[in-house]
Parts: sequence; structure tokens; C-alpha cells
Amino acid sequence: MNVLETRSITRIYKEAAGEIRAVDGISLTFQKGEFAAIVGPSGSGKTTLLNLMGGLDRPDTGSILVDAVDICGLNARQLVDFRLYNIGFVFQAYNLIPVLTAEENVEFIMQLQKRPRAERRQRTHEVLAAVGLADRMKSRPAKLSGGQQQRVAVARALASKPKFVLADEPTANLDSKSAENLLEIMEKLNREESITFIFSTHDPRVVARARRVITLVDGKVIRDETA
Amino acid sequence: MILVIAWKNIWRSKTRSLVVMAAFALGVFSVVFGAAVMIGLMDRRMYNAIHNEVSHLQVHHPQFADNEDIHLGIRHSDAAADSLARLRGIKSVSTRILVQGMAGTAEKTAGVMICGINPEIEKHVTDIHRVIPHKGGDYLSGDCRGEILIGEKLARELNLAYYSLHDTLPRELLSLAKEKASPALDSLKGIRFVSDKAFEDALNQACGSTLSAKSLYRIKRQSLQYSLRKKVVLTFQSYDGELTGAAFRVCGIFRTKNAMVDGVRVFVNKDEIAELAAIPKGFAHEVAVLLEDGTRPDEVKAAVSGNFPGMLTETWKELQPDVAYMKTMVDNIMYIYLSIILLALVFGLVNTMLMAVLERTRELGMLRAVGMNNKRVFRMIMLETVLLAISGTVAGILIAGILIAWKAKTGIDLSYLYGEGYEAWGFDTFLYPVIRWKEIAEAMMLVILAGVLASVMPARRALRMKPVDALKTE
Repeated sequence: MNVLETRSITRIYKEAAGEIRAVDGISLTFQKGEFAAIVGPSGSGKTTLLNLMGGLDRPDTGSILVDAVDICGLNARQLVDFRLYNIGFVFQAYNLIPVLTAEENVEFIMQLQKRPRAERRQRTHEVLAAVGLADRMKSRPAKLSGGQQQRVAVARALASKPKFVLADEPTANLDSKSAENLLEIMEKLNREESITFIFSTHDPRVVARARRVITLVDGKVIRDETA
Repeated sequence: MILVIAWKNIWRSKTRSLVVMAAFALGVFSVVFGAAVMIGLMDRRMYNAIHNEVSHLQVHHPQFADNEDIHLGIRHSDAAADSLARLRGIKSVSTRILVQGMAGTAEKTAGVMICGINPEIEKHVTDIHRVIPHKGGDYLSGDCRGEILIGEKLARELNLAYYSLHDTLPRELLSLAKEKASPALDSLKGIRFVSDKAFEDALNQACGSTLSAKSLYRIKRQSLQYSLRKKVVLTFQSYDGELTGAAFRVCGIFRTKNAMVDGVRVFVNKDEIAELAAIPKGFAHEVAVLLEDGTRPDEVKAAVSGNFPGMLTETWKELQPDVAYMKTMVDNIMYIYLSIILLALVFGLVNTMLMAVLERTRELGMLRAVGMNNKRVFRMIMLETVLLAISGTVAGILIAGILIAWKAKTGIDLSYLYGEGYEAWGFDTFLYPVIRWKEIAEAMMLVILAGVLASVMPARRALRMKPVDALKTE
């Protein structure tokens, strides 16, 4: 079952030096439960592709289907709601709200979804327990290590019950131990709960765990390997 | 949750937020306290105008105000007044005879307006019987033939009041007397000074230094003596055109704190002046009406007017338009000051919020990326701005409220600033600030409005950048 499909998507940036085809006619299909890594050198278009798949940017040509809905046809307001209910994001720099506790950061996304309080509380505890932070729920981000913050970010991404999670360089700011720990958690969630993870990464540790590796060069897919 | 985040966001930069809050607190405090003082001053002026000068309503002959002719009055006024007094909403009614004349003592004369009143009835309409200072004698007695009640300023003009140091020196002079100036001050005891300047010069000379305005004002008030039971001759034109007059004994001195009233009006028994001036029975020049509820004199005006056909009925606002104008102005002064101060504060608020938004560009990008729509982001920025403004405003109102509550009990003494000047304009030199919660609530609404307006630019800035670009910022 396809959760995400890109059909010949192109993203062109116009600069003084001329046009840059950051993403150049990429067609990809992702099934539910995939654990995929998009790799490639800097400037190969990994993050741009991720942004396009996440509805944060629009392709110049082509279409993107999430659960058979063409998100390129949605207006800005619809797209925000679509992201809220369908896509989970994990960013390189964690991007937690510093004034909220881990628990509040996770619950916040469900408040935007207007879910009942009891359901929010239960889900928050579930996902924080799943990432191994049941005992740090009341801590603010500043009191957590980088690895712990990124685990809160993963919990936040999962809280909204998305169709897939997009993680942009999730281990880039983490030490080896934290990175391994985070990857183990995500792999476990993928394996046990069939959560679809799509990473953009340079990190060989992520690549080593990914069951599908898509290699980009100059905005094009040059290799798409499934283990 | 957005409210909670907005509140917590304020405290990310404590110093910056506290500075903005302090600016709002100071601005709002100065406006609220200043307005309370002005309202207190004006309320007192209005009270004095109504209770010592014009009452809520007055009835006159339509041409009486032109030249105050003795013939222009109201016939059968007592019967009409009795009937009026029975109307709903009317507290009390006084009929008066008003005659222009001259008041003279052995030394001086002055132009006066002789008010013939029924002393007992007048007590229910004006507060003249309550504004007789200590040692200022008594109000007119019930059968007060031959008695006259005069204002303090007139007493001074007629040399019926003078300054004289007692054996017990005023407190302000005691400290000086104990030291170097004792013999010089002692030598002033018993001397009568009829002029302010002579008394002040003597005091300054005896003390060897220039006394402060506050000290001088207090010493003068404590040293003022009245020549009671002295004879005052009133001369005036009678109803039949003859020049007539009579001698009266000063029974008391009143002090309304309005120099214009204290310097001109004298009160005598109405029946006595009517006889002396040969004024027909039941004839009066003025009917003064005090209402149960003085807030809407216009509503009672028609009923009063109906009792005196062909006569002119005027409310206190028409009789003293300057007071009515000042009251309207003071009632609105808080809004004017607050608007000006808020305008200045809004610039600081916009700047602060722009900085806050700029610092959180990436976070705002993240929020929009994960599904926080523009409306919610706008609301969050707006709430932050409004909360910042309100916090300072509440602090300012609280401080002002405490100070006003304290000063409403103890009062604020303005006498040392320019007491005589205030009194010349009919204002009390001792004022009690008044806080009006309805206006405070309205001021709060103004602050919220200012906060909302101030949030527009920062919120637009927050929404201008695309989430994908905002996420790239460091």
C-alpha cells in the first residue's frame, strides 16, 4: 500500500548564476512500514526532496500523492491542516518549544488537532514511554541532552499518528551513543508498529539500519536499493 | 494552550519584558493617578458649585441676570416653592431675595450681593452653615434680625479679619522660636495685620529668612482672627426706588473656598430685608432647588419650570457652564492622556515583539511546518503582545489604586503650591483623589486594543517567511 508517491517532481531555484534544478524529475513510491534513507552529497537535493514530500515546498512540475491525495492541489491553508494530520517531522536541530516541558511539547501537536484531553494525555505518555523518556516528561528541553531532545522530537512526530515521518538529518547533532539509541528506538517503532520513516542523511549509521537506500546526485535518483 | 505558550514566551527574555511592563506600569500609573486627582479636584469643585453656590436648579425672572434689577422677580414664590417641594425627586427648595448694595464698616466699603434667606430652609439647600471656620462665629439664628453672615474674603476687605499671632505660636514657627528668632517673634504677638503682605514681611523679618509658601499659608490660616459682632452697614435701593439701608451685626464668617462667593455674598434674614427694601410679600428673585439625585437635572427641569410659568429655569450646568465644561473635560482627560501615552508605548511594544519574533524565526517555522496555521500563529503573537501590555497595565493600576485608596483617606494638600490661587478659582486646596472602576475597565480595553494593534506588524513579520526558509535560519 503506497503511503507516498512522487511523480516526476522537479524543483528549480532561480539564482543570479542561472537555474539550479535541486530536484530533477524524481519519481518514488513509499509503502507503509518502510524504513528508508535518502542519501547523497551536500547539494544533491535530499532536504529539498524531503521538504517537497512533507508539503513544506511545492514542486515546479510533477505531483505528490499522499494516500492517493495530490497535495500539490491543496491551497496553503489546506496544506497546513494536511501536514498536521498526516505527516510527522523530525528536524536536525530538534526544534522543540523551549518554554514547554517534554510532555507539553508532545501534547501541543494534538491540541492543534483538537483531540480530547484524556486522549492527549494517554497518547503523550505512550509515545514518551516508547522513546524511553517516561521519567523526563516534566523536563524542559534545556534540561535534556541532545539525544533526549531528539527523542522528544520523535515522540512529538508520532503523537499525531501520522501516515509517515520525515526526518531531516536526525542524528547530525548527536554523539554516537545517542545516535545509536535514537535509531534503535525508531527502528523498533518501525518494526513493531509499522511506522513509515523516511530519512535524509549523511550518517552511515542511519544508512546501515535503513532497509531502503535512495541515492541522489544533482537532484536525480541514481540508485534505489532495497535490502 | 496558545495562551499558556504566549505567557511563557513573555518570560524568555525577562529583562526585556520587565522593561516593557515597567514602561506600561509607569505610563498607566501616571494616567490613572493623575486622572484620579483631577477627577477628585473637579468633583469637589462641582460639589461646592452645587452645594454652596447654585444648587441643582435655579429659577429667575428671564431678565434678572441682565442687570439684577430688584423689580425683576417671582411673585407668589413661596406658594410655588411649597408645591415644588412636594414633587418627586426634589429634596429641598429655597426662595431668596437678592439685592445689590454696598457693605460698609467704619473703615471700608465694598459692593455686595445681599441674599435674604430663611436660615432654616437654606440649611437644606446649601452648605453655608457648614463652612463657618473655627472661631468664625455662628450661622444666622432662626429669628436673626439684625444679623449678617459674610464671606471671609469680604471680611478681609472690610478689615473685619486680620492676622495676629497668638500666645501659642503656630507649629511652623515653634522650631524657629526656640532658637534664634524667639524675641523677634514674641514682639509680633498681639499686633494686628490687615494685609497679607505686611504680615508675611513681618514674619520673614522676625524669622530672618524667607518662609516657604506652605509654611506661610499654614501660619496665616492659624493666625487669622475675625472681628465678630462688629457693625456692618448695608446700603441699597428699595423696591420703590429709594436709597435705604440698615446696620447689621456680624454673627459669623463663612468660607466656601470660592473667593468669588466669599468676597461678594452676604446673608441676612429674608423677611427683614424684604421689609427694609419694601419688597412685596411672597416676592423672591431666586428659587434654588436641590434634587435627590443630582446626576440628571435636565430631566427635572421641565417639572420645575411648570411651577413657575414665564420664569427662567436653569440647571447648574447652564448657570456655571465653566464648571460643566471643566467637568466634561476632566471626565475625558484620562482617555486623552492614556491615548497619548499608549501611542508612545506601542512603539516600544512593537519593537520588543519584532525582536522576539526575529529571535524565534526557526521555532515559528517549525510550528507552521508541523501544522500550526497562520491564524493560530497570529493569535499567539497577538496574545503575547496583549499579555505584555496588560501585565504592565495591571501593575500600574494596582500601584495607582493603592496610592489613590490611601490618599482618598488622608487627602492631598495643595495649599502650599498656590492655595489662594486655587481658591480664587473655586477649587478646594485639599483634594481627595477619586478612582472610577468603569473608567479603569475602559482604560484596560484601550490597552488591549493598543496591544492588538501593536501585534499586527510582528505577527505579519512572523508569517511573512515560508516555514521551509524559516527552518534554515540559525
